[in-house]
Amino acid sequence: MAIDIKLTTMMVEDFIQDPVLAVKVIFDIDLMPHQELRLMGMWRFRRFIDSSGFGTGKTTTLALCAALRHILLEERSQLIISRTFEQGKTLYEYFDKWISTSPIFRSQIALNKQNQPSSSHGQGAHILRAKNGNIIRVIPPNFNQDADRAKSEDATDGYFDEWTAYPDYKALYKTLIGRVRRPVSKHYQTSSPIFGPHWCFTGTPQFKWHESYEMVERFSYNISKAHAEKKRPQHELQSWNWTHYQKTGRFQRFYETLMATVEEMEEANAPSVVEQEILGHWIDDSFGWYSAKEIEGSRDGGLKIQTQSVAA
Amino acid sequence: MSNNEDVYILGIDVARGGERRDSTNGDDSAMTTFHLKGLSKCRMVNAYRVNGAEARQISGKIHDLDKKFNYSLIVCDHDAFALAIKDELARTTQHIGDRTFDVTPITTFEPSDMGIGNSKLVLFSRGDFLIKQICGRLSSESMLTNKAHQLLRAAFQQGEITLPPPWPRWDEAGVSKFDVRGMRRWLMEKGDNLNETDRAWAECDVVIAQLLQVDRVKGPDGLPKILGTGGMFQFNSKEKKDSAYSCVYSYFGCWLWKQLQDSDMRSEDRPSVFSAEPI
Repeated sequence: MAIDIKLTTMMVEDFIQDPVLAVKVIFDIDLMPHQELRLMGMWRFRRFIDSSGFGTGKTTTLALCAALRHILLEERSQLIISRTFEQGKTLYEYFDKWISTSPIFRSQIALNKQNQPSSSHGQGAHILRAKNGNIIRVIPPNFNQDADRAKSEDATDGYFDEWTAYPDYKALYKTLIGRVRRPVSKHYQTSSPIFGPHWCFTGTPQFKWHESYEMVERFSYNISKAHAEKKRPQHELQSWNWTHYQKTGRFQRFYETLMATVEEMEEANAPSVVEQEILGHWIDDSFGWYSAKEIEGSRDGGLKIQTQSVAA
Repeated sequence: MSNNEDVYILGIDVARGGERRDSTNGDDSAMTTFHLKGLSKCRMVNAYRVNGAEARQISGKIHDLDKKFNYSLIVCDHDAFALAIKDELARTTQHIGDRTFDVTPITTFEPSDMGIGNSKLVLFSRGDFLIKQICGRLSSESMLTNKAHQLLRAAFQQGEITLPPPWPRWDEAGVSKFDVRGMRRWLMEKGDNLNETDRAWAECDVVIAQLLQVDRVKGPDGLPKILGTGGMFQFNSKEKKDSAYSCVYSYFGCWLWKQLQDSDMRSEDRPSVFSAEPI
């Protein structure tokens, strides 16, 4: 095996302590400072919420974090659930891409009978298997059936992408979060922030009256409580936006591209949408004449659209 | 009429077509239907939008919807183009595409129009016959616009309006629920492939998304600008607002209808809802 595709024990030990270095060495990806902090947050906190604005790399970082756990840690079973299976598949494409671009990552992926990397793209799940026995599963959320499909799953790490746009929070709280229940390797302590189980939530913010904000409040409370008790918090809340991009140097091109889109979005969207989608802020309500809270509260799941003659 | 009867009200915001036909940048003509049962809750049950249509086509569509819903009132914004549509609505033969059909003309409540069709058209203007009857003399058009927005907002606050749930296929379309421009663009490209119910449902979301963009025009200090001395506001939107305004007119029609049904109340006893007080 060529030296440049070998993952040595020493490298694994170093990378577990420094996932940012791992991303650079394994994937040859330069992260911006805010992305480094996000990755460290995902890596080192048991429960993590990222409510950043669009274009800040939430999904990419989530995929990087899962890919690193896949090849660096023992006995991991990781579950990724996005708002729709289509979005989950898009996320999974990162793994396929890195299999072809990163020799080290590819070398750690199990091989199938055709001697190809074991990356399956089934209708029921997309599954990536590693040589160490680890598995990443991207499954359809099945919100239409109360997320029933997920009830048979168990995982050591759960990633809930675009969770602020989930249509059913009962399913998230009662079913999906509970899938992170598989014991971690006996070589690891469950209480360890790095080796224990993880719950990671990424998605642009909503209004504060939205159901998803309850979890943000719970995280915020637990962080404050830990600080008051002079303990290390197990929860982490982060939010980044385009202003945290590096504007010059190697990231200048990314910044200029993002700025063009930001300007277009600022022009086209109401101020409340700009606050949420672009700046990553949780806000009380829409700033316009009509309240988003009241309008959303007027929606009735049972109301039918009428298109046929009412006399019929 | 009985308070338990089903009443349907149409609100229309029209935009001239002609040279802008087939463009996607011009204004839309939008129609929103509310169902009023028992004079209490108003339910949004249908929405329609077309870009670049001419008066004859819009009139045909209104009559087509009227055949289905048998509207009690049709409230349409008032400009030169609306007057052209008014004339078209009064014809006995209507057209949708290549289809021609016979109808009973739709007219306003103006005494001069009476007798030649069904009086159900209200032009959203202080000069309209029915609006004058219900609202009395208004000192400016902006007073009417302000009150229509005030009534709709109050209706949401008091839970008097029911809206359909979000159209479930926006995810599939890759459009977020706040993205007015994205919704409109997607419907322009793919909307014709949807069945009638899905299209109307998706258009209801356009109405709702546009409503959230409506706000009072604000000055450099961030405070709403007040027009003249009447304490009225000017309303605006960063995005297209045709669909939102069709909803404003439709709810205003619901309110007018409720006032009309309140026959026991003498005009001098009616609450002064059109005061010149700032909102």
